Amino acid sequence: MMPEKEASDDLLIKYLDGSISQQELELLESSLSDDVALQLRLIEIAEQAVMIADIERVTHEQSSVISMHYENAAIPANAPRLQRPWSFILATVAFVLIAGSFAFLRESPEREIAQVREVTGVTHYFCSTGLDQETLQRGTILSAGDVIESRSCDAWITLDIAGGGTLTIAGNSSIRIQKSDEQELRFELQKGSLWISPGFSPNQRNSSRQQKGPKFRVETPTFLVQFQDALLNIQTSGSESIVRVNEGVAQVQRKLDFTVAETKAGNQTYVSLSKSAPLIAVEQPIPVNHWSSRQMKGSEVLLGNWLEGTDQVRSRLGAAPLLWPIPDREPVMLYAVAIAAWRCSEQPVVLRSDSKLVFRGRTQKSQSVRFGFSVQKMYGVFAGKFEVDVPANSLNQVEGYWQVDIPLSDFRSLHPHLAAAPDGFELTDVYALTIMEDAGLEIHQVELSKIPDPRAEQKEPQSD
Amino acid sequence: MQTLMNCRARVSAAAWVVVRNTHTAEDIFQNVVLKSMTREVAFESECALLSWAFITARREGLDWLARHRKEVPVLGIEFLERLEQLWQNQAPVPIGSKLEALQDCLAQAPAESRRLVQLRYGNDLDCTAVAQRLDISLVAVYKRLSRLHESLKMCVEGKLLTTTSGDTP
Repeated sequence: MMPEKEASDDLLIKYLDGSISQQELELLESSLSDDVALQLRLIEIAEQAVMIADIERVTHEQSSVISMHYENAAIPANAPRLQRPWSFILATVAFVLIAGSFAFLRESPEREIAQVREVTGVTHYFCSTGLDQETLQRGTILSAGDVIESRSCDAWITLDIAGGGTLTIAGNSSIRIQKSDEQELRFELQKGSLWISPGFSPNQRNSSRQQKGPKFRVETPTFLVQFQDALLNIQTSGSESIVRVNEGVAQVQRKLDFTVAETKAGNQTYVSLSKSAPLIAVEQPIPVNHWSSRQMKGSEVLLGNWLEGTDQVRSRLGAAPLLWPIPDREPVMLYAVAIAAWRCSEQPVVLRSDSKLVFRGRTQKSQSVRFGFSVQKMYGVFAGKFEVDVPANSLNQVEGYWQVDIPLSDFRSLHPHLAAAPDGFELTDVYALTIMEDAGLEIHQVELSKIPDPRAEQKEPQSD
Repeated sequence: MQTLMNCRARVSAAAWVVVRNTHTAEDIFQNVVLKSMTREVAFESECALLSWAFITARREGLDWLARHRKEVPVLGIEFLERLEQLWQNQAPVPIGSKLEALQDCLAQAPAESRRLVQLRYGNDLDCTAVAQRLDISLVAVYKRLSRLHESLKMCVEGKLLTTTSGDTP
C-alpha cells in the first residue's frame, strides 16, 4: 500500500496540475484539514513554482536586459558589477511600479497588426489580455493573441492592415492574430471566410511611402497560405479549406504533408483533410447560375439545427436563436437558419437579375419571415447582404408549410455603397429568420434558379 | 509597496494555488500592487495590507477561473484562508536571497529535472503535456516533481542557513 505521505503528495501535485477529480479533492481537503506538514508542503511547492517561473523568465530575458544595461552604460572596467541579477531585476520592477508604468497588464507590448475600420452585425472580440469585450468596436487596434469573430451571417468586419492592405472577414468567421515578425504578418482563420486585398486606405496612403505591401501568412486547419500584394479569398471549415487567388500569386502549403502548390491569379487550391490527392492549383471553375440546398453534404449549416425528417419532408433545418446587438438599445433575439451556399457547390454561383430564390419551409406560428443572402464580388471581396421581409399572409401556408419564390430584384441591399443590386455577384450564404419571436421556423429547401421566361412558356405548346 | 514586494513570491504563490498558471499568478500579483497603490484607504499595519493582498489575490484568481470557464476543482475557501494564514505567519525571507538559493539549487540539479520544471512552470504546461514532451508516464511526472520539490526545499533551506550563519558575528 502506498505510504500516506506519498499518497497525499501525489494528490497535491495532481491538484496543482489541475487534473484532480472532485472526489480526490475531497480526500486532499480531508488530509489538509489536520496535517499542517502537508499544508506547509503545499505552500512550499507553490512558492517554488512561481519562483522557478520567475527564474525562467529572467534567464530568458537576462542576457539581453543585462547586456543592454552594461553595454549602453559604458561602465568602467573596475566598477563593481552585480554578481546576481536579482537585485537589479527587483529594483527595476520596483522602479517600474513606483513610476506608475502599469503597462505590465500585457507582458510585453505587442506590435499593432491591424485596426478595425468597419464592423457590422454581431461580433465578438477576445482581447489577448483576457479582458474580452462583447462587441468589437470600430477603431480597435489589434495585436498578437487577439481573436475576433463575426457571429452571424449578416456580420462582417473590415481591418486596415499595418503596412498596407485590407482584410475583410465575412459572417460566421473567426480569426486570430498570430505573433508576427518583421518579415511577415500572421493570421489564423479558424472558420469562415476572409478576403485580403493589397493597397492602402486613404489614411495609410498618406502615412506610408512603401511601394510593396506586407507579406502575409494565413493559417487554416488544413493549410498555410503565404503571399504578398495578392488579392485572394480564403474559406475554411474545420476540415477543408480553399484559397482562390484573383490577383498576384500565393504559396499554399498543405499541413498534412507540407507539400506546396503555387497558386496564381485565376487559380484556386483546395485542401481537405479527408482527401490525400496530390496538391495542385487548378483554374477557378466557370460560374454557374443555379444552386440548391440539396447539394449540401452536412457541414454547410451556419445557423440552425437539423430536425428529424417527417413523412412529407426529409430534410428539416430548424431555426436557432441568435442575440442581435443594436447600438444604444437592448439586443433583439432572432431565430435564424443560415447555409453557406459556397460550400455546397464546386463552382462559384453567380447571381443574375433574371434569377429567383425559392425557399420551402414551415412556420408553426403565423409570422413574417425575413429572407436574405450575402454576396461577394466574382473573384473578389465581400460585397454585401440583401434582404426581404415576407409577411405571414404572403407565405401561402398550407398547414404551416409554404413555398416562396422571390425574384432577386425584390431583395433590398443592406450595403448599397458596396452593391446596389446582386446581379453579377457571387452567392455566399443564404438565410431566413424571424424577429423576436420563435415561430418554429424550419427551412426544408432553398434553390437558386432562373425565372422562367413567360414568352418561352407561351411558345412551348406551339413547339410541341 | 516595500512590504508587498518582499512578499511577492508568497502572494503570487497564493494566487497560483487557485489559478495554477504561473503567468496569470504574476499578473494577479501586479494587479494587487496596482490596486494597493490606487486605493484611497491607507492600511493601518503591514499585517492588514498583507491580509488584504492575499484576499484580493484569491478573489482575482477565482474571478479569472470563472472568466476563463476553467472548470478545475479548487480548494475550499477555508483551506485557502488557512494557507494564507500560514504564509502570513512565516518569518519573512528576503525574496532575492531565496531566489538566488533556488537558482543555485536548480543549477545543481540534473539536467532532466531542470527540463521538467522548465516545462511545467516556465512554460506553464500541464503534467500530461510535460509527460508527452519528455516521453515518460504521467505518474512518473508526478513522482519526479514531488521528489524534486522536496530536494529543492532541503537545498534552499541549507543554503539560506549557511548564508544566515555566515552573516552572524
